[in-house]
Amino acid sequence: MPPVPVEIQLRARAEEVPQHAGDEEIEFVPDLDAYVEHSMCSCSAGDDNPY
Amino acid sequence: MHELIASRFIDEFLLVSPGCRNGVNIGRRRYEELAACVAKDQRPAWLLPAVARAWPDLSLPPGPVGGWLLVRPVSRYGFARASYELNLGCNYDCPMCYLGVKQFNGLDWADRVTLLRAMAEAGVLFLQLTGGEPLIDKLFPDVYGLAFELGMMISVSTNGSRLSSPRILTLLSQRRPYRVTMSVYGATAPVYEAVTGRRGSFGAFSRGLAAAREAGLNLQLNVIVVKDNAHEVDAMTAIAERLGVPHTVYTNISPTIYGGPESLRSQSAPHLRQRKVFTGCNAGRTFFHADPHGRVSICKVGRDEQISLVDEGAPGLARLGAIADSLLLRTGGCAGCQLSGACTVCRPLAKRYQQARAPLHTYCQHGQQGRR
Repeated sequence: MPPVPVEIQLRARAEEVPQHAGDEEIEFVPDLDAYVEHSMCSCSAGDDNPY
Repeated sequence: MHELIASRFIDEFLLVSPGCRNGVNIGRRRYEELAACVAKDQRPAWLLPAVARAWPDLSLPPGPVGGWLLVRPVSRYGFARASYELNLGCNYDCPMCYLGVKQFNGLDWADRVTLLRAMAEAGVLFLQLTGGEPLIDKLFPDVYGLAFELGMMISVSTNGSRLSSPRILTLLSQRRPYRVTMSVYGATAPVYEAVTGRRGSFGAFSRGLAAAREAGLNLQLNVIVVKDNAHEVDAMTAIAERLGVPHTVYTNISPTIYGGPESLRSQSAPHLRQRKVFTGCNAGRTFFHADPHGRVSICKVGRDEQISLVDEGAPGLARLGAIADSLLLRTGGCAGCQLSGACTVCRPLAKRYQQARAPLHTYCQHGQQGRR
């Protein structure tokens, strides 16, 4: 069977946003606690003190 | 009123929405693009698709971009998080409270404005409002409202007894907090009120919890275990599980902030557990704590050296890093400890235990290897 040319249409996908990235892309953060906890200390914000 | 906040957060640049747990890390270039777009009342092409994906239920109001998007300026001080004890006063009388003497006093409104603006200038994005009981502070609604307007994601730590107040509930429903954390002191009225020392407090807590859930607030329950309620641990956690609310169980009680031992007497010894290993922290560098008088320390535990944020403003915070260094040195009761190089206990916390003359094994984690 001879090869058949197929036209591939490239479309802009403006509605899609890249998920991971460096400074030029966007990262969706499902739970900001992960960021906040990074800045916490392990006593006042730890698992043994409620305040 | 803003629906979105763009802000630096330590080394990241975040787009967040009040009351929502999630966010978008947009990077510095897009953050700067947003700032420029607000000034020109333009919307970058990536913004609305990103918002729709992150917050599908968020409907942005018509009108200028600056009406719903707040771009926080980059702070030169680099702080990201703070806690503010509005007032040490409380309507409960719990024996395990780490505040010891719970005095009803705090800053007047003008000084609170100065304090909150200094926090914003310092870069604070996540702010915890606590106490005492913050919801009984007469200026709580004003403090909360201003912190919200300044673009902070606010957490409120409360006993919940005033959460069913229409004024409080309306405020939190219209300007939604990042989180409301309620302490749980018992699963039944007799036990709960034996801990709080206040008749009727279990009913107030239950009404507050129901109202907060009804309002759809982002709730967290802190189950506090002491001698008087230890037999209800399972029942207390069952409250959280039945409601589908995240919870944490706390069993280790701390000495008071003055190094007093009185709070330790209420601990339930069988429930004590080994403390989380201290691996260092950024106290005084990326976060700080403000007491009711606007005096700032590196954290809630290490309060030995304080800076008046009201008097000195954000520039005064530059000294916190050096204070943190000095507070974390192995001095006082730990001086000369041959194991200090491998110490896994927060030094300011250990100091409070030493002031309280608490048994060594309750705070020193060298116990298993032999002590100095």
